[in-house]
Amino acid sequence: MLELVNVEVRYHEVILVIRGISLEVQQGQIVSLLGANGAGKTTILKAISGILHHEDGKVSEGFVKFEGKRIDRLESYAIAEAGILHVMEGRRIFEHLSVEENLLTGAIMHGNVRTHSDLEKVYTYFPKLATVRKRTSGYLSGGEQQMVVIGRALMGQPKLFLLDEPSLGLAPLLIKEIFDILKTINRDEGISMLLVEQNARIALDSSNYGYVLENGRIVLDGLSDKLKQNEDIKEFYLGLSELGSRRSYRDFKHYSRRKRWL
Amino acid sequence: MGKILNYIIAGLANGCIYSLIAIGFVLIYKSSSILNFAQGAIVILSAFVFYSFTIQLGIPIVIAILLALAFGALLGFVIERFILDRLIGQPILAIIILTLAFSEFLKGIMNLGWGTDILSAPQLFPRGNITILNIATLDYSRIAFLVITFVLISIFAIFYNKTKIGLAMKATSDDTIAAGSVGIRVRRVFAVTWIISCITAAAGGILVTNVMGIHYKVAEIGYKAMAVALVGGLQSLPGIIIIGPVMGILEFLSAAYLDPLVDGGMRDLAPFIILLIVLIFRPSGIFGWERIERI
Repeated sequence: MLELVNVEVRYHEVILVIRGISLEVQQGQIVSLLGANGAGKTTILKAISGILHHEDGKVSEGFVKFEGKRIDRLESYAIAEAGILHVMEGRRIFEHLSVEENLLTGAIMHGNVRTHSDLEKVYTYFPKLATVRKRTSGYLSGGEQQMVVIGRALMGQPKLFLLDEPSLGLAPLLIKEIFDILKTINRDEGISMLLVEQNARIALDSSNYGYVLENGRIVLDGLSDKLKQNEDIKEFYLGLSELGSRRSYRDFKHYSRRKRWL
Repeated sequence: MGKILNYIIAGLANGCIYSLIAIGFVLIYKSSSILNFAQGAIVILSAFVFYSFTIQLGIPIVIAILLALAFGALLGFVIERFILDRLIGQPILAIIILTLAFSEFLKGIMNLGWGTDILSAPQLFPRGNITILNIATLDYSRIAFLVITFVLISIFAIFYNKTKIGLAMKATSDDTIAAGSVGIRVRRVFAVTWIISCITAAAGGILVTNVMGIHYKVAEIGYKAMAVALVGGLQSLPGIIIIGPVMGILEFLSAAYLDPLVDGGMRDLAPFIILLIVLIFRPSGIFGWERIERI
């Protein structure tokens, strides 16, 4: 349903951040996008959701297609209306609004029709939010804020979620809880997801397919189960050497081996 | 005793108009961090337009009021679409300076179009006054000010808190980019913001010139409204609705009781002295946002 073909992204017309990336998300899939800091993961999501335009960035080559239509020239609200909801990095809630108001903002674009039942749906996925619905969302805990942001996107009747580091700054138990809910949403609502994560383990565990990004290029891709078996992924992203065993520092060389992909 | 009460009520009536005009500042500031220095000029320009509709063209007052408000709305739309549109992505300071220039431009137009004499606005309310309990006398126009601003501010509050556009405005003022990402048409929200600000400015202009006369210098009321907005806190609508009347009362009281001591002028000075004091102790205004920080 989502297809990036040979996409190149430039900021301020000159700074090349993404060089010729092609990737695909199929209906109902969870696809993860892995890579180190600065590899360009977030930029790809911004290119899809149109937020790039607000940062003087542009898709300068190639195109982004959603359900057969080109969307890389559209404004971000039009892309949201088409069904791509971007859950941005760093929990961008409307902090002076209450939890319920935050959720309702997600439904503004679709008018009144399903607002009430959608709200109930969000509260069933995130029962915690129902107990704090009148609270000012800026004072919620990090995990609750992440739930608000995902719930807000769910109110927009999405077909595809772009999730940017939903695990950022959360406790391991909470990360697991949020990913479990995301998987349930994917299964029950049929919402496809493109997931950007630093936490490679949970990303590969939750997704069907994965891409590895380095310096603005895709260097590796494959089914998540296959990627988990890949030696390089194991060493660089999962922190394992031999199957499942942690390495002792005693065996470690003084310099770390650096993988050159191309 | 009766005198004090008179000052207080007159101040209250004036202060309500400050609140009305300050709504425009706050809305625009909240949605786009622009401080609109042209607000005062828009107030008076609308009053001039109202004057032309009634006195020069002879349109009935009620229709002329509606037309003047519509003129305000159109002006807001034009400013947003054709002037600010070109400045998207430019530094905020450039836009603020632009509003200052636009204010002078409008004053120039007013000088050219209507001259520099003080014009007297058409009578909106019957002359005369009522006496309450033998201690205070009130003329009808002050009472009308109170009632009208109360009604207008209530309408606005309902619009802002209960409608989807209001919610979209609140969301946009919190985080413009996130608002766009959930499908809110941010540009449309900006346009609505400017339209509402200019309508409230026009309403304030029609009311205030009814007692002060129409003259381009009256545009300085914009700065008093700005003082109200800053004291109340630039992000807080309840703040300015409370502070406006308080400021009006303090202004009239200081004019009445301090003027004899300092040879006059306190009426224009009082709001800014209060502003200075408040800014020293609470830079974000009495009801302004301090950034929400979780601990």
